[in-house]
Amino acid sequence: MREYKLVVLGSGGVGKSALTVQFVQGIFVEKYDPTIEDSYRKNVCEFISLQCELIRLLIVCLQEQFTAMRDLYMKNGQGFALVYSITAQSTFNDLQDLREQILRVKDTEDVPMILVGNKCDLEDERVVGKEQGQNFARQWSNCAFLESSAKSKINVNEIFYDLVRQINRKTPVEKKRAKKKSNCILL
Amino acid sequence: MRCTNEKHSQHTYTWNNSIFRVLERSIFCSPRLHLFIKNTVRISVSIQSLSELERVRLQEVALVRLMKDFDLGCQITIPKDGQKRKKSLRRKLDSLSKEKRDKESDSQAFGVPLSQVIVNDRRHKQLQEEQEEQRSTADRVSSLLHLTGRRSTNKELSSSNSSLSSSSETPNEGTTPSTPETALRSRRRGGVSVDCITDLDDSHSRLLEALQLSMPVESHSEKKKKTSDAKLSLNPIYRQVPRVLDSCCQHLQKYGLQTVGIFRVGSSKKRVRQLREAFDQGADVVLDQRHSVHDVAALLKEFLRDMPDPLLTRELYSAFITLDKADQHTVIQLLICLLPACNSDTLQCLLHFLSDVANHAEDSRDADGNEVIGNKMTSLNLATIFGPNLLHKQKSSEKEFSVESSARMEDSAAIISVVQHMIDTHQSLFTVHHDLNEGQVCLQNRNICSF
Repeated sequence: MREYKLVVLGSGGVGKSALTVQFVQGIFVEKYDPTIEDSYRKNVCEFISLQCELIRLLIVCLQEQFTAMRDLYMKNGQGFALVYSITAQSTFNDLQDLREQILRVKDTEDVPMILVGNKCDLEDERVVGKEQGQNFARQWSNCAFLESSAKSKINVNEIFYDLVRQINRKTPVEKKRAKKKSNCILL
Repeated sequence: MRCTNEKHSQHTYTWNNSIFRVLERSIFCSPRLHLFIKNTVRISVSIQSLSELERVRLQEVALVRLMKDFDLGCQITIPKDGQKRKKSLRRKLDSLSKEKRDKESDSQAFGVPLSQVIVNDRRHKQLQEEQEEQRSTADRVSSLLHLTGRRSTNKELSSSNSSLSSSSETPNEGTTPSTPETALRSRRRGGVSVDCITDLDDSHSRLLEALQLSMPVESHSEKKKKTSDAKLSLNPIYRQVPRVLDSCCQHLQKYGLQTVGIFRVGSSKKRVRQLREAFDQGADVVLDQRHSVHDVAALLKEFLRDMPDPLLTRELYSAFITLDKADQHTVIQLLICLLPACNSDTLQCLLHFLSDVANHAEDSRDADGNEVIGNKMTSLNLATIFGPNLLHKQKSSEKEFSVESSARMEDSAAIISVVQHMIDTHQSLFTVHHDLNEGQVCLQNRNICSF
């Protein structure tokens, strides 16, 4: 069994927890509690027919007061979902710094990553246009881009599956060594 | 006699500070009165109404009680109020060249010890008043020049008396004290700290001297140092809340209470930086509806986060996070007594404001029956966000995050719970209860006997 470590990052209140809980438990959380750090696991058997995949998700808040932990997660994470809210411009602007930080910590340009514009059900309150997101993604060496809604369950699974696919592409499963590798990660 | 009057009507009194002070004076006069106080009076005074001297005493008593009655499982000391650090800084400034002084004034608010911020603010206020004066009357210019000339040679940074002395000087120059001038004087006197009024009042300072003489013998040498270090007055210290924090709170109180996710939602980094720079340069920043509430909220958080010593102080970090749930309230109360005056005042101001934010968390209806959307920031949410800003061990710039962060994760639950409790119960946190006061009174009485 292979384990993927996905990290969900973004400013406060963009819906990182909501997306994750929707993906893992299939429910939309109404509560509005800031997360400092949270981790979820999900077994995805149906995803790749033969293998059972374990996805470990980490949600990391971008709040400035928790900066110390952020680097650590970036170091350990394999795939990154960078989430903003289409209803708040500032959450979108924050992501540029965040991406640069990830690339710096990873010390490579090629990091499995996806840009996510969440809350796309709130079309009335939209501030960040879809093209803006697409342009941004293009600038980020053609990073994947999706608009999602945790509330209306739009594109939620796709975010995480896309990341897993990217990781697979980058580091193909090596039948024999894969197990060893996963052990290392677990340790 | 005052004392007997009090005796008769004490049950109807609300124990405001003046009475407390009268009481203290009478204790000083007649140690016997102490018995009466101990047995009957239930005093509940707010910390903020206490004088400098009383606060220092309170710190000592609170420390003794904490060590005696509660098993904190850690060492605690009374946090330094930055006075010493400030002193050394001042000395350094005096000895060093003037450029250094300019350099130091680079940052007036952010990343500066709280007590220094207060001093800067006070200086700023004086400067502002001076400028106002300058504008108002042309014939005062000459006296002002004289004043500013004096100021630059005056080494005392917190020269609250200098502004007063100026107002007592100036009338001599004018042939007849004109009405605007006198009005100005009275306004000014109200504007400056309460402390400086003591300097005028001889009877007060004599009492002060007497009280300082009656310090316990065992710690006499230490006390001596203290008295020379800072002149402790018997008047309440004026509210020591930094200008930045005050204006942020006022702004948010006005515009931000109904904003969903206030303090949680991100801000514009650029605009926050601009605001920060403005405050750091000592500019007269007026926050109004043009400023985004999220920017102001971020500024407030940044101010707290960048304090060299966190608001709840490094010294008390372990005490705060290890305290026992059972007597949480009492211990927090005592720990707050240990805080330096400026920290305590600022904390009270902040908590008062945060609880107001939390009160607007739920959706509600206004007087006309219209639905008002809540900001969704409950005290728990606010504590999650403010906890790490108020209580942390190391500077954010320190590198050992990988080692520290795992330990800090466990602490953070405790931090949040403490801060949440503070927000919820802030109203009763800043009062000294009778038993503690008794200790204070006892202490003083013992001093008198031992002297």
